[in-house]
Amino acid sequence: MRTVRTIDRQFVAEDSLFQRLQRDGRLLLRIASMMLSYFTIGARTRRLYAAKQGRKEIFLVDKEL
Amino acid sequence: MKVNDPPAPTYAFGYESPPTSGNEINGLGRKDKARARHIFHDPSENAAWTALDEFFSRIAVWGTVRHILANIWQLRRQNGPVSTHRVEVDDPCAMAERIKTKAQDFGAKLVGITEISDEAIYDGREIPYRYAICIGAPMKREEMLHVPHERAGIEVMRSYREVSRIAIKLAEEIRAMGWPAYAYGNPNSTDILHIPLAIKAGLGQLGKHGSMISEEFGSNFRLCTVATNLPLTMDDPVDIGVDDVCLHCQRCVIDCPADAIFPEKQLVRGEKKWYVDFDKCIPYFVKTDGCAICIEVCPFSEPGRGPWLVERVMATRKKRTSMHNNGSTQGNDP
Repeated sequence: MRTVRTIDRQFVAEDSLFQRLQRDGRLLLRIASMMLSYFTIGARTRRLYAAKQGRKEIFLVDKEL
Repeated sequence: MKVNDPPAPTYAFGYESPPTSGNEINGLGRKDKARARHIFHDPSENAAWTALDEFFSRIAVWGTVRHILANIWQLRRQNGPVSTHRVEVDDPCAMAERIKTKAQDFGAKLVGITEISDEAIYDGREIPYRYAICIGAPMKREEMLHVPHERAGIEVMRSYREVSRIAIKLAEEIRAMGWPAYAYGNPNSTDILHIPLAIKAGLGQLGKHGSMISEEFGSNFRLCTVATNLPLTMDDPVDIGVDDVCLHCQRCVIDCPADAIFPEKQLVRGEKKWYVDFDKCIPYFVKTDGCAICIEVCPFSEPGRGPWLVERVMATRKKRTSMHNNGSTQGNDP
């Protein structure tokens, strides 16, 4: 899941209306997929983390994501 | 401000194989000058602490995520077509004033201009512009008083969104004048270090807690940068006496639950400066939705206190200078 990051220079200077619409469409899709991930994969992570917290166990970020 | 019962610096998350120390990557103790490197927020995912960053993204509350997503959406306009009709600039000083007024009209409360220099660019990145217009917008103090709590975290993200909006509008304004301009929005910016630029542009000085302190808002604000080639007169750095205060004040050092703030300046990439222990700070930052205790307990961040502190520091300096001068004069008396 790529939730909260953007990349500088990911949006190049474009001048035609079609290119701008294409760019915006791509970005909208990306944001939609981020939202979906947040509510699915993210929710699973939050549940797992809460359960581990309750059991006083450690959630290993480099292993369990 | 006093933070009541902040959570203990114990963590229910961690690494199986601990990454390289963030302090090492940051160049703590390093004598030679070098560019900063990414550790935590890095979209290329090669940063040492990416897994923790990913975890932070996933456990974030929706209130912060929605501002981040809205920010990403608006930042599609950070760059764009430049008008073919270029406004010629005969007087860079007048143009700088015009740009600052525009930024203020869009909502900026702090604006300064400087040249983009190496120390403000991340290693391996390039900024193809000469000038940086640094913009600051304050956070709502009543929300930030809830640190370290998600309510404050949400306000931080709302402020980033707001300051990005201002930068985008300003960049669009400059492009409409026929000059290239790029809004480096925050916290998504991965090429540029906003704090060194803002300090050089005279917005404030580096504080003991590693954030910039301005006279008017303390550290209770967020930054953005517009990079451009529009000819502008640059501002000078300011001395508002932050060092004088930070040398004696221990407020952030004492109140940091993670014990991450060094009481003395450290050598970092060839420069002695205030520095925060990355390895101690970031886990607590992740645990508490962005923490921000240090910037809120800072005496400068208390509304109205900054100008008073600056006045006091300047008066003390003046007194010391006159005592020193008197002493010298007396010493010279036959």
